Amino acid sequence: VSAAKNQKSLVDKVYDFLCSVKLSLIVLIGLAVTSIIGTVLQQGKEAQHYYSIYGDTWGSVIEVLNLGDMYHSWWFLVLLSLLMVNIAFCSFKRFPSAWRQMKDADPIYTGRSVALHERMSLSVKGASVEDVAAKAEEFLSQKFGTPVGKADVEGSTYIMFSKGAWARYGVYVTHCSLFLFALGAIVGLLWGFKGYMPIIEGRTEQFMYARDEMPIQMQEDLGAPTADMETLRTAAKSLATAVAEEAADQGLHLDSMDLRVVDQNGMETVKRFELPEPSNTAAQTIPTVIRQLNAMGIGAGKSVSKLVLTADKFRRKIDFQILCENFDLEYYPDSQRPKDYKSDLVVFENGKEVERMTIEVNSPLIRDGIFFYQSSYGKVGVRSVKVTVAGPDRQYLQQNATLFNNGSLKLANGDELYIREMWKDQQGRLPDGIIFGIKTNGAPTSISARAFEPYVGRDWWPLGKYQVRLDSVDWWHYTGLQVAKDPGVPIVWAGCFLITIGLFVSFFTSHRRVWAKITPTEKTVKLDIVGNASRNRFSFERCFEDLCEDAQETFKN
Amino acid sequence: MLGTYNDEMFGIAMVIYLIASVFYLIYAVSKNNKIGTAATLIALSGFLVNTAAIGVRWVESYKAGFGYVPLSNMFESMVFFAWSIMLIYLVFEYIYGYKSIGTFVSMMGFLAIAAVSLNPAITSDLQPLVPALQSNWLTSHVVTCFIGYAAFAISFAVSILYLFKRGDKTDGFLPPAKVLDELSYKAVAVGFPLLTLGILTGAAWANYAWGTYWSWDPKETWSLITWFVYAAYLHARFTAGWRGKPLAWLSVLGFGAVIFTYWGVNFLLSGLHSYG
Repeated sequence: VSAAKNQKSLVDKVYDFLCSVKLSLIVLIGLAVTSIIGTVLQQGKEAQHYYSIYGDTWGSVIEVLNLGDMYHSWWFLVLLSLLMVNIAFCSFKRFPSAWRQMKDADPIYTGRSVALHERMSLSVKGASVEDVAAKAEEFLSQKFGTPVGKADVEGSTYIMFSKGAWARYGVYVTHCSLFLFALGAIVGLLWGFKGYMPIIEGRTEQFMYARDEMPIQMQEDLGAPTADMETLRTAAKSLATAVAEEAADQGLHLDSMDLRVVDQNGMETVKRFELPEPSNTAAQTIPTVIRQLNAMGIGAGKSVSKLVLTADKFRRKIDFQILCENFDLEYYPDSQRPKDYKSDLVVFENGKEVERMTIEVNSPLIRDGIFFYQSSYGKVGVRSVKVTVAGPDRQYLQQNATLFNNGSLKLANGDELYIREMWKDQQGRLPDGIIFGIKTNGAPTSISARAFEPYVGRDWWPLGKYQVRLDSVDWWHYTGLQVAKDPGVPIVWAGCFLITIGLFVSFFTSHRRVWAKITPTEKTVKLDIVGNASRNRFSFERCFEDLCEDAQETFKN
Repeated sequence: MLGTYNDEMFGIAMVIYLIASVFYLIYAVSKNNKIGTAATLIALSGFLVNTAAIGVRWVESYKAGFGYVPLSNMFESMVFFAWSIMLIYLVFEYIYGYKSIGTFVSMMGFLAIAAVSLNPAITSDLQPLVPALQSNWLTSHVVTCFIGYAAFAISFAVSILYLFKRGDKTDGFLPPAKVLDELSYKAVAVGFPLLTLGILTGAAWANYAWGTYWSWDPKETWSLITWFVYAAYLHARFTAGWRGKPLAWLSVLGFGAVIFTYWGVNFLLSGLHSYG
């Protein structure tokens, strides 16, 4: 019997703890403090990165606690879940008493546990209990509506008013909204996706680079180590099939993979490769994987005990195609400050144009619940330039003339100016520019010059015996689109709506209960008025001061 | 170039706040009602000059040809922060009638403007908006956040005074401790819904600009940390029944988080939210 009691008390203890505000405070402060880590420690890096910066000890702490992606780590999710459990239990425990107070219509306030925050009383001469009660009810009704209860007990009359009872819902509405946020986040995680889609001007694209997807890894233990290529190929085929099927199940296409060969001594050889085009069928995947296996070869005297195939970069195909007709980059006048990035997009379904939109930052294209945001851009090449060329005697040979990427401009003596290529510094230290060349009698020469874009219309660049001035450049761009589909967003918006209402109700309204008790004494009638407010006692106090004045006014003889 | 005339207006508001602070101090010591009224009028005039300066800056941005609501960089947000602090304070003074807090609050208004006006590293030039900031969400996001921050600043000021105050005497230099405790909570009760709205409008905007309403960016995370601290404050007060010192300390801690969200993230951490 006593064991059962102890057990029950343990359950009770756990229940009480889960309901307790102590837990709320611990979890809230715990979330606040631990959240700091992810703002100080760079997120989303590989484990090796942290080892190399913080050393072995801290590196392993970071790896074990997944601090490199702490907002998705198990312990952070446990803390968040604990908060939700605490809110649920707490609300469940407290709601019945809140409900009782909302429904309270018991006019007899004496002898029960109601906190009376305000009280006043006055004596009225020369009036009957009925008179005083009627007058009190009248002036209290103006502030607190019709009475919710009346009673006559032992010669005293009790009247009760209750106003704004719904204010007590505020906190539950607020807490409810937090569950909507959690639900929205889960829905987004399960059925949403994110990606990046670069489209070169003039091209059409149907695939995006998937983001935040878990790698797919399959392995084949060969039992006894073997050097037989036929056996290995069979194993590789089944791996490729399994990985492709898994990707197809998740609606993904394979992009890049690692093939890992483990020999009988546990030594690993890794080959990273890309599929010629994104695919998720065994038929398309197997040939590439087999080709990589063949290329890796199996060294003499070695045999293989295990094959591992890991796909970690994916593409996602959408049900329509997007053409980027044009990308535009606009600057504020006389400044390097960008004003706007714009892409003219055209959507095709089954080869037919169905939509056309110019997107810019803060104004995405939305189709089938998928959002396409203008997020970046880059240069692919040069379309044309305008140049001015001077000859050896400083005379103009060409003035502000248009030179196309594949074209040329006649200079003198059979010389022609042409564009060799666009110049881009991979380290990003030097600005972008154009490399010009000279053809003589149609044959390219070794003479070249680099002209940087920021100096357009200003600087002259020596090119053999000529001087070239770059007047303007028409770049060929790609537009970088962030792609996102999140079916959880409407749920999150519903949460936003609820929390706004909930907080407003919680902080700026209150449930006010007011009781009047009219008691006859020997010579006079005594009127007591008492009140309870669920919130905002300060303004209730003021309200009561007004009430006192009203009462004095009403019963002035 | 642009905005020198405008700079002077902010400078005037700054000086007026300093004078108001001195008057409030004299009032707190002397309890002379005339000086108290004068302090309020001076603070109010500083607030009006501050308002006008923001208005002039707004007009000037249109004259410069790229009009925008002036809430987009450190300078503009700080002068708006000063404006918000004074707004919330004057409303509190009107409702609750306690003036001696004004000493501390006007000083904060002064410091907020001084920190950016006198700092050569922070430019007061009008700068056209980069594409990411060209959104209707900008105004609602910044206004809700900063009025929320301002309310927390008031709570912080009151809590500091509470922590300095000994005893519960009414005749002292400051309002009774119980009143300070209540005022500190009142300010949090104003700030918390506004901070929540600020986070929500920020999330809505992020969803339209970046394609994700929450990305654990340092600014977002720190605003959430601040939210957690004040949520703890409110539950400690309402549900656990805390009063007095521990709550005052929690309010101070919360304002520390506000300050870090506002400046620390910009100056010490890197992220998407690098404008102000």
